[in-house]
Amino acid sequence: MSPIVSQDDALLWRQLMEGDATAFEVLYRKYIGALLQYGERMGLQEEVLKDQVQDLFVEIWKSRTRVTPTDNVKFYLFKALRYKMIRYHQRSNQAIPLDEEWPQTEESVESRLLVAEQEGLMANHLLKAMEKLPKRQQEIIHLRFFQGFSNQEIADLLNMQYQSATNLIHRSLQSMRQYLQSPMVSM
Amino acid sequence: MKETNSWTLLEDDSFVRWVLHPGASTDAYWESWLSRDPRHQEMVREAMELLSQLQQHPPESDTYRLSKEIWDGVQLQIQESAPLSISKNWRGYWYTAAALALGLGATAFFWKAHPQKVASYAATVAASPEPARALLHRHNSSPKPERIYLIDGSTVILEKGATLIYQPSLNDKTREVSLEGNAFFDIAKDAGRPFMVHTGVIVTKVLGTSFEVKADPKMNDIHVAVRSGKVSVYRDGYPGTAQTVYVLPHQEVVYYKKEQNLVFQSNAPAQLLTPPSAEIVFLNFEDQPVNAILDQLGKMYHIHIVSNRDSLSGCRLTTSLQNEKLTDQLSIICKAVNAGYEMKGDTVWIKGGHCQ
Repeated sequence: MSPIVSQDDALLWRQLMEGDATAFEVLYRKYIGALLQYGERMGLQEEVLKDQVQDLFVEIWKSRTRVTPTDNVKFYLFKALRYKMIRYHQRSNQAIPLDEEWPQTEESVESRLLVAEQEGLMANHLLKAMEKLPKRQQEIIHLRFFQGFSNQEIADLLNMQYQSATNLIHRSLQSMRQYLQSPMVSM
Repeated sequence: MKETNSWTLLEDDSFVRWVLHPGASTDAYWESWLSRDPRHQEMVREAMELLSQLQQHPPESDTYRLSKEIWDGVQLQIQESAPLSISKNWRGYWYTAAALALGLGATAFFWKAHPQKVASYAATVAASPEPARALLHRHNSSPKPERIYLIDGSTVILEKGATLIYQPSLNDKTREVSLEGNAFFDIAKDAGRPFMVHTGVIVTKVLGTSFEVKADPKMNDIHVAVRSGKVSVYRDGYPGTAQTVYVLPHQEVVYYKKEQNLVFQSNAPAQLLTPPSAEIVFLNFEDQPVNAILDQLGKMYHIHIVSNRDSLSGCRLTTSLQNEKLTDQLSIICKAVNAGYEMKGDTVWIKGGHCQ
């Protein structure tokens, strides 16, 4: 279960804690892309996402002397951004909290046929299949395969038991597979 | 026991780790699993295909622009409370894509100097507050002129017997080299970082656009001749004084050692204004392994390029990196293989990278 982390990160994080602005910028550059893709996948509007991520990094810099040392900076950043997104949803009261599953949207045979015709590429089918998943399953698939977090890291990120996380990954993959293999979209 | 297929492979932590982060701990197991049954290979191929598709991101997002905007916002908010100084050269990396489109103005001059003490520049660097960085000594012992590539995009043609001492990494404020012997300089424009050539007691500083300098090899004095652009020449330690001579195109300045005098000549000898011919490294690649391209760049600039060779082993690239500076060359390669890079001292770290 050892996460694949680069030793550089632990060093950069220590330098950041000591007030090294360059280390701060290096870490920002290194993870900003992944954080933005996560936020976008979770359906945050661009302006909201910008504010949340900006706050996150400003807070890290301002509290740099008080943060705990870590050798898994990516995990730390994702955990922090996730808290921010949940708090934002709670405050704004308009979106569905991340901790609850979104209802499946019913979809007609026609629309799936249309999708199959429009999208020539398998990749698009898979992305489409992913978008049919409940929000929480989309999140776990994104964290697992796009971001490359381990099952244990995902369990820690989502505050779940390890077994629940692997079960949810299993269910999510099953749903995607069923969607892809249903006669309506097979080619 | 569940039946194994390409989808169940995706649920296997060890399999996913093997695909995303190949390494000793998982390689052996999965390679032996692969060889056990021909059907396994098909399964793995399918699973890898699924995984690479799951790694696609909707193309409409513009994370580059967003990341820049957010960073500006972060800096603004931080500076309201306490000033934060971000190094200039790092900030420059944001604009590498733009620099590609604009093209780079080049500055060329030729320098010919007779054996001089090169120690002064080395001593200057050693005494600077920056952490000591390795200096590269390049001596041309071959009978033909040799072209040296600097990472800022400048080139130096060293004539037979000449020695150039330089830092293989970029410095924040200046680009400084030390020369013993004869050389032709073709300097990339960078207003924020003047290019300085130390030759014993004389310093030549590149100020403006493009120019070229040449000098007489038979004299025991130092000659600087400019073909285009503008340089200033002054005695080491006395910049900006009456001792400074500005040299414009087709002009020349000579430093007479015996008299310790800088003498301005309005007409440089014509034969000094032609660059010597030296071999060019061609960087046009057609379906070449990315690892081999990185090796070639490392060799060309005399720097270390560290990457995950395993995950890049399947990557091939067709591109031309000719006439680009190192940062742009690395940006092009990294963009093609979904990687990033950092440069520290004379080492470039390629972060991540994979191919479909």
